[in-house]
Amino acid sequence: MSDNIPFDIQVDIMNRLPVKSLMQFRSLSKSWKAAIDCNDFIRRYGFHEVENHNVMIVLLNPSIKRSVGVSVPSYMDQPDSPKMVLGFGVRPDTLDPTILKINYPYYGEGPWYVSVFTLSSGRWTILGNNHLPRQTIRLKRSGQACVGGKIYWPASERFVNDHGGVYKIYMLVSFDLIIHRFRVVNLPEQLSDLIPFPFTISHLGNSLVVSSSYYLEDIRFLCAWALKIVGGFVTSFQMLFNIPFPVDHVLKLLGFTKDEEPIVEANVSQQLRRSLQVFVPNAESFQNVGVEGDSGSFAVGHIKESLILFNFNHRELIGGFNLM
Amino acid sequence: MSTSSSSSKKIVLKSADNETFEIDEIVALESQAIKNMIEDECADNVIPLGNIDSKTLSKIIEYCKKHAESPKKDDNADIDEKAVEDLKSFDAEFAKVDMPLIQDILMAANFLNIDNLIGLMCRTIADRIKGKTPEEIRKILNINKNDLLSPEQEAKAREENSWAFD
Repeated sequence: MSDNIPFDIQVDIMNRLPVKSLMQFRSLSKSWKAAIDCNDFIRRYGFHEVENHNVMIVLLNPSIKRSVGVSVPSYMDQPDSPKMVLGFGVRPDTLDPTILKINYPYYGEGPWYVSVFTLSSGRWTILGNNHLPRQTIRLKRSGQACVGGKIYWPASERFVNDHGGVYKIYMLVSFDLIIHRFRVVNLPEQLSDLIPFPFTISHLGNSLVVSSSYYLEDIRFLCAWALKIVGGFVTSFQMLFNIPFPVDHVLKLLGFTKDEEPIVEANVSQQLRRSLQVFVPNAESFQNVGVEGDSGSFAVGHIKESLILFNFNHRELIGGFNLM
Repeated sequence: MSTSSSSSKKIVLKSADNETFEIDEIVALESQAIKNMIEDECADNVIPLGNIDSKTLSKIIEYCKKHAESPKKDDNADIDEKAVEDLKSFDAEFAKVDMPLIQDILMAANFLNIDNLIGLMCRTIADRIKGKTPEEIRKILNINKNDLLSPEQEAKAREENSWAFD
């Protein structure tokens, strides 16, 4: 047979190549470059290696260029609670990387199922009910922030008033990386009045940052507040910025540069593609940093040089299961 | 008793060079394409495979026989670890053939829709080409000249990943 290998099978071959080879082979041909650079390919890359269609989470430490795969066993799937939120944080005292898998139903008020993985134990453990928040609470999947040994998510709770109308109350939910317990952090009333809902979350130094956008007389504003949280209560808050931008742009705060300039996910054309932009105060405008992706695909974190993952073989796959 | 499999249904496959292979139906069912034909009852006793030569076809049958005999994962919850290992080492030995034959097997497996075999061949090709230069791979995969990047585009692609070239 002298025919060429069909391109979809060539893509299958690419999917099994190591990253370094893939990068080299971008120069192989136009088709290979286009396929490797394609978002869909990047998202699916490497999934063949995992047996039984398990989900695998990769922990990567860029400082020492080491990675460890953590498998999420398929029997941890919750068929009646398919909605999944993953959380990640590093325990502040032992620097133990910790992954959370949170499941609850798409609709209604079904219960939470939470499993916690710590790298030191190499195991997933189901979290007891007394460690969970009220089951009527739902997390926003727009991102998490890690501050002071706790992971925070924006969250909401749905209520029905006397006339049958539905309304939501927004709050924060935290997870303590040391005692492995969730906690609901209510927003002070004065703050609730100021923030347009729903909001997104990020952090600046040791402060949690909540951000949102609103219209005012045909102008859109992106605003953000820094929150101090002590003992599960918001003790003070302060407005960080309130930046006007053209109405047809969509902006979402992701985080900050080391010079504390806001980094946002922005939509500047009519397409669904989003780009990463940084606000430059001197120019009073957002500048595209040249990174594009799908809506909701960006996340910004900070690097603290560390030796986490040093005791593991590069690309090792771990992750057993433990019933409490 | 003549042979243990004499009672089971037989399927005859005919290669491009007109060689016929009589195999148990259970072996043929490893191919999703043949399985569909049999289920749709549009398979005659002899299935002509006009684009697969006898050398490739005999390799494919060797693979399907082994995989059909091996206990299936969903049959039994406690899968025999030894059987899994045995199949793995069979696969590793099976793939020890030259690149043109690997490609022929891959094309045939794709035509016959044998998922595991496609996976095995893709993995084998990936393992073999990962250390090679783009120039060598263009030859192996017979990449069309019209599909090549211009020298400028190629230089740019290389520059973007300069870290991957050290």
